[in-house]
Order: sequence, then C-alpha cells, then structure tokens
Amino acid sequence: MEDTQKTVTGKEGTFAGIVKPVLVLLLICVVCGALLAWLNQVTAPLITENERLATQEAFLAVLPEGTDAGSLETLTVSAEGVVSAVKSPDGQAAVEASAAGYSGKDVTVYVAFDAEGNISGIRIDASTQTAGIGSKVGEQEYADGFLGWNSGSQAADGSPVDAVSGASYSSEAVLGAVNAAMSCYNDEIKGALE
Amino acid sequence: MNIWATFATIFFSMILVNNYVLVQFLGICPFLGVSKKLDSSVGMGLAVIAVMLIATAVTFPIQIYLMDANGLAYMQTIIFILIIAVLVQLIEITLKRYIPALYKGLGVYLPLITTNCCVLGVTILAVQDYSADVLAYGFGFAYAEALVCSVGAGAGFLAAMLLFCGVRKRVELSNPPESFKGLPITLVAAAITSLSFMGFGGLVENIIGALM
Amino acid sequence: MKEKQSKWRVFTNGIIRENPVLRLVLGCCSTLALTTTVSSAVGMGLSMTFVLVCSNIAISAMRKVIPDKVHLPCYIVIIATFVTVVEMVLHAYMPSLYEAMGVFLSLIVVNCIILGRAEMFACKNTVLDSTLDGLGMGVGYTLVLFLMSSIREIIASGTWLGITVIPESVDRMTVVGSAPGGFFVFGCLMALCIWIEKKTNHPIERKMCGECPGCGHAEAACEKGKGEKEDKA
Repeated sequence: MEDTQKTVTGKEGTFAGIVKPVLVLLLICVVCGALLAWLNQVTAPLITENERLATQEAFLAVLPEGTDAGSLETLTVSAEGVVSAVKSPDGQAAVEASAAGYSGKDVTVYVAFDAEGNISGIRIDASTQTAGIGSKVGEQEYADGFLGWNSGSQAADGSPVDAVSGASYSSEAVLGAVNAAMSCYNDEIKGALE
Repeated sequence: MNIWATFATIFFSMILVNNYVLVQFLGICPFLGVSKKLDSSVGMGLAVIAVMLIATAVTFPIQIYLMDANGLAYMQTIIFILIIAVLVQLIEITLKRYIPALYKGLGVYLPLITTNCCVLGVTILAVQDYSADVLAYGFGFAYAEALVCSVGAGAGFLAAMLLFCGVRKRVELSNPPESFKGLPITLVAAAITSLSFMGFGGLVENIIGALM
Repeated sequence: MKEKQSKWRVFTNGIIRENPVLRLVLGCCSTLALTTTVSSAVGMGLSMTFVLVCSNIAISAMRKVIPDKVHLPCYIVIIATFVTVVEMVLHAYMPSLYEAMGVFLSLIVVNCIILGRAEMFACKNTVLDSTLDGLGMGVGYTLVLFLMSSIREIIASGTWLGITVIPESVDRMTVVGSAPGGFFVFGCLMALCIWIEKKTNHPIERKMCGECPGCGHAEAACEKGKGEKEDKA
C-alpha cells in the first residue's frame, strides 16, 4: 500500500501534494477493507456450508443408492493425497483423493468401498485437464473400469484399466489418486469400520 | 515424476495447449490492438513476460504466507491488482532511470499492462492451480511451478502475437466483403489461428513423456 | 421535457450509440470466454452491470474528493471492492454460476469497460448521469453477451438455457462452443453490426486497444480527455 502512494505522489512537497492524496487513498482502502471484512463474515459460513454439501453430494453419488446423507460420519484421515473421507453405518466408506495430473493440475476422484474393501463406486473429476484429451479420463465409462478392484491388490498388480491414449499424465493421476484412496482405506479406515 | 519433465510440460503446454490468448481468452485487447506491427508485437510480448514473471514471483508468496495464513484469501482480487499496479509503476521508474535504452523499447507498453487481464489472470490462476502443491511437495516446488507457468504464459502470449502479426499482414492484403473489413475479418483470422492451436492438445505431454 | 430526453439519451448511449462490445470494442476477453452458455453469459452481464453501476456511483460521488494524483489507485480499489462483493455473494448464494464464471469474475476488475467509464464519464459527471451511464453500458454489454451466447449455445450444444431446441438426431457443431468458434461468432456479429451501420448511414471507426482512451492509457487519457470529452453528456 505504501508503495502506491510513494510512486503516485511524485515530488511536490506541499500538503495538498502529498498528505491529502495519501489520506484519501488510505481512507478509501480502510472503508473498502472494512466492507469486505464484514461481508466475508456474512458469506464465509454459507460458502463453507456449500462446499460441505457439494462434497457430500459427490460422496452420495458413489455410495450405493439409498444411503442417507445424515447417517454419514466424517473420518479424520491423514494419508497423502487424501482430502476427506466418510463412512456409513453399514460398513461402506467413501474417500476423496487427488493427484497431480497434466501440467501439475489436480485430478480428483471419489471412491466408495463396500464392506469387503472392493471399489463399489467411483467418480472422476478431470475438469482441470485438457478439454477433449485429458478430460476423457473423467468419463464414467473409463471410471467404471475400476469397479470391483480390491483395496488389497494395490499398484503392484498393475492398473485394471488401460491409460487413455494421448492422456498418459491424466490417466496416471487417476491411478495415483485411486491408489492413495486405497492405501488410506487399508491403513486408516478399515480399522475404524470395525 | 521427473522435476524437469514437470516443468517442461507446464511451460510448453502454457504456450501450445493452454495458450492464454488463443485458447483461454485472456489479454485479447492488446492482442488485437498491438499485433499490427512486428516490432510492437515483440516489445509488448517481452514486457508482458517480464511483468507476468515478476508479478507471480511477488503475489504467490504473499498469497501463501500472508493471505492464506491469516484468512484473508477473500481480499485476493483487490490485493493482487494493487500489487500489479505498483509493480508496473516501479518497473517503469527503474527502467527509465537505469536502462533508458530498454525503456525506450518497452516503456510505452508498460502502462497498457496494468489493466491487461492476462497479468492478473496468471497470478490468480497460478495460485489456483499450484497452491495445493505447497502442502504436497513443499513451498519451493510449488513456487517453481508457478514461476514456470507464468513465464510459459508470457511466452505463449508472445508466440500468439508473433504468429498473428504474420497472419494479419496477409489479411490486410486480402479483399473481404465490405462489412467484414477491419476488425471483423481480423477476428475471423484469429479464429483460424486459434483453430490451429486446437491441434496441439495432448501433443506436449506425449512428446515430453517420450523424451524423459 | 428536454432535460428528460437528455437523461434518456445518456442511458441509451451505452446500448446502441456506444455499445461497449460491438462499437467501442472493450472487454472482449469475457465476451469471448463466457458466451459458451446463455446462463454464464447472463450471469456475467448482470455482475458486470452491478459493478459498473456501483463503481460509477461511487466514483462520481467522490470525484471532487479524490486528488488527481492518486485517482487511478483509488478507482482500482473501489472497483476491486465491488468485484469482490459480487464474488462473495455469488460464491455464497449461486455456487454453480460462480464455478462457471471462474477466473473471469475476478477479471471484471481489469475489464476496460469499467475503468474506461470511470475515466471517461464518471469522473466528470453527476451521480445520476453516471448511474444511468453505467446502467446503459451494462445493459448494452449484457444484451450482446446474451445474443452471442444464444447463437453459440444453440449451434454448439443444441440447447438454449439448458432446454433442448435442436433434436438430438442433428449433429452438433461443437467447434462453435470452443475458442475458435468464439472469435468467429464475434467477428460475424461485428460484421453484421457494421452492415447495419452502413444501411442506416451511421458508420463509425472502431478503435482497438492501444488506441482506445479508456483502457491502458487511462491516466494520460483522463487528463487529455477532460478537455475534449466534455460534450458527452
């Protein structure tokens, strides 16, 4: 802020030349800052709530139909690449995980596991990837290839799905995120389910 | 993943796949206004690269350490545009005093850059795309990614200006329908230039993947 | 009566005579980027109108208080504040629209239309005139966006505001919805505008950025413009 004033004020040394512009600019900044701070206090809870609902909706989309939103319990997870996780009372769990895809932009996956640890539902959000190329990994047809994959098998067995041609980074990111979700399930969630 | 491969992918895809001007529609005004002559295209392009790099270098740490840390993320727009305005002024003054030769070449384009949306755009998008990497890979790596992204975006702007400057020379010699003369035919030419950039999708990552 | 007419003229100025998009050629970036769907275009148009009206009011109300030397930073702070207000409100109440507009919502702050109107109009006219001017410019901008997005959405995805208008059996021309299509449709619309101007004998010379007074050369333009543009109102 100070720099703005220095550079714009120039050389004159009179009161009108330096003090007044600085004061006016400062006053405008303070008023604007206060207005925004107030509005932020009003809107911030709404925004957090919206985001929570959006995540919940994404989880519900991968969990079996009929899962009650109110029964979902949020789990505290710390595995690398995992954003959040929930479990339902009947032993189902869902994990949101992300991994860096093409040019470092994140691909996010929502993976649901049934009580045996098999992948029972998956959604891939590849909207950050190149439209028409990398974004193809976001198609449901591609995602469905992961269904039934057991969390015990992990990356050593190779991916059950072939990479989308021309989108190796995006495909790798999906695999990375699914793997992150699976290790999180094995290490942190399995224990919590019992 | 190899660090250099990551940087190279970011850089080249900013130029070819996610070209700011022709694909993402950032900085259209100077693109249409200044690309008439080759030397002004080069001058504007270089000035944009410099300002983008410096602006990202300043705003990225400010966002991470000052704004995110204190819950001030909602002030992003206002703080970033002020920083850019101040930076451009500072660069102008510094150039004028210490490197007058360069100032003669680039100085005239600097005031145009304050309100150039690609500069504010690159600072906001760099934060959006790479701030998550601070937690995952550490600040240094994320910062480097953001800087590479900003230089790539600037280089993409320069490339688009240079290419389009050549296209425009041809367009000016052509004889379009009366109503299309001037800006409309320029926009249609931009459409065709942009169409050629659509062909690059998927190219960069495969080439870099094959090389590394 | 005469007074009333001139106020009406100030309002319609932005819609036809000085339409910001098709005649002044300002703010092309958001015009091209957000006209893929009608809903995002209208959202952008309304956000823009809000910021334009509010910043015009604020700036013309304070035109005697703001010292010349710091007028640009002051304008930028005022405009950025209103942009942030729109951002927060949309993020809280209309998250899907907020997502659709992405970075272009923040970029309203550097849209040449707003700073241009502040420099060319609001800094030397009364609050009422500036409000009308902002409203007119905003409506003019929104109308063009609406028109252009309708064309693009119908051709590219066969829908209008999400309602299917072209049967699924007809192949979509998706290229119209992507970047090249944006430039092409904009070019054609402008050609149409020029054609109408010719028919009605009101040709104007379109200036591009770098030559335009409102945008980057704002500072110099205000000083120069003060003398020349007084006749506007």
